[in-house]
Amino acid sequence: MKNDMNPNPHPSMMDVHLLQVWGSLLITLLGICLHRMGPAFERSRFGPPIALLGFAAFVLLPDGLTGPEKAMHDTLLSSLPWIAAATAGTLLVLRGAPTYWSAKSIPMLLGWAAVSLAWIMILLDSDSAVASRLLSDISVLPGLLLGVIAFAFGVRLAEGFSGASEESSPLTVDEGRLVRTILTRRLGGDGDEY
Amino acid sequence: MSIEVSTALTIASGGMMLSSSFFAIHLAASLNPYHRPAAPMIGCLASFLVGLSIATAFFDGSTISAARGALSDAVVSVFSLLPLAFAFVTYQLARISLRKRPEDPLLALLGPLASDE
Repeated sequence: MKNDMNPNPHPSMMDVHLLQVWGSLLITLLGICLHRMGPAFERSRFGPPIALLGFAAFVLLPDGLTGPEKAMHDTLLSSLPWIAAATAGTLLVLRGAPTYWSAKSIPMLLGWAAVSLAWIMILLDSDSAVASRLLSDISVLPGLLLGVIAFAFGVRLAEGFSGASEESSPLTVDEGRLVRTILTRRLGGDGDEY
Repeated sequence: MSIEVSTALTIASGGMMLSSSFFAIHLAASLNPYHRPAAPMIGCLASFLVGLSIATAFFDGSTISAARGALSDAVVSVFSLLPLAFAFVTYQLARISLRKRPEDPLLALLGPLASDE
């Protein structure tokens, strides 16, 4: 029951392609994760350029890619147009949606046009083999879920071992004055009385 | 519509490696003094190794080739399933686009007064 998928015919090029494809994907993920840290951490500002660099390195790969990475590269590149249209459309519809009961019609219309375009691209790109591949594609979901469960179990273990932290020290006089000033300003006073 | 067990297991093992490596990268990238990353990292590593051993068992070739093949297939499968996720997103977008302001019982009481003015 061995699976003989995508044997690499050029072992000498394998390392180069390995570095190009997986390295660029790794850099992209690193950038996204850095960006996800938020503005409280200074290194988060490096996230978007690093992600963009990795993405550009992945898209601008030279021809001659072989091995299992070729199918992945082709799939990602062929999916990019509809993913871009879908992302832009979703953001525009969300911006135009009547969140506080006042809809913005122009972003909404543009968004739905982009969403429709994305669906047209999906339908034009789909072939009759999609349905037969769907079952095997769905089998990736339990695998992804098992990875998530392992991570969540690790987080739960870490939280269980951490125990109760020590009681924090009281605010200093300056910190107390700062907190009182902020609260007073927020509640309508001028905050100078403290 | 049938699938080979080996193909499904290879893709599932690739999915395991994909999600666990994503979380491992996330842990490494977001390391900070308030983190306790050891246990989650061990969980990710264990999950990755289980996925890798499943992929190796169903692949003719080296471990690296098995990992590359399974991970590539998993990425392709994730992208093949994205239109299904987008169908759900489109449904939710349609719901929020067609949302009407709910009838407020207090404002309804003011209705006749408002019409008199």
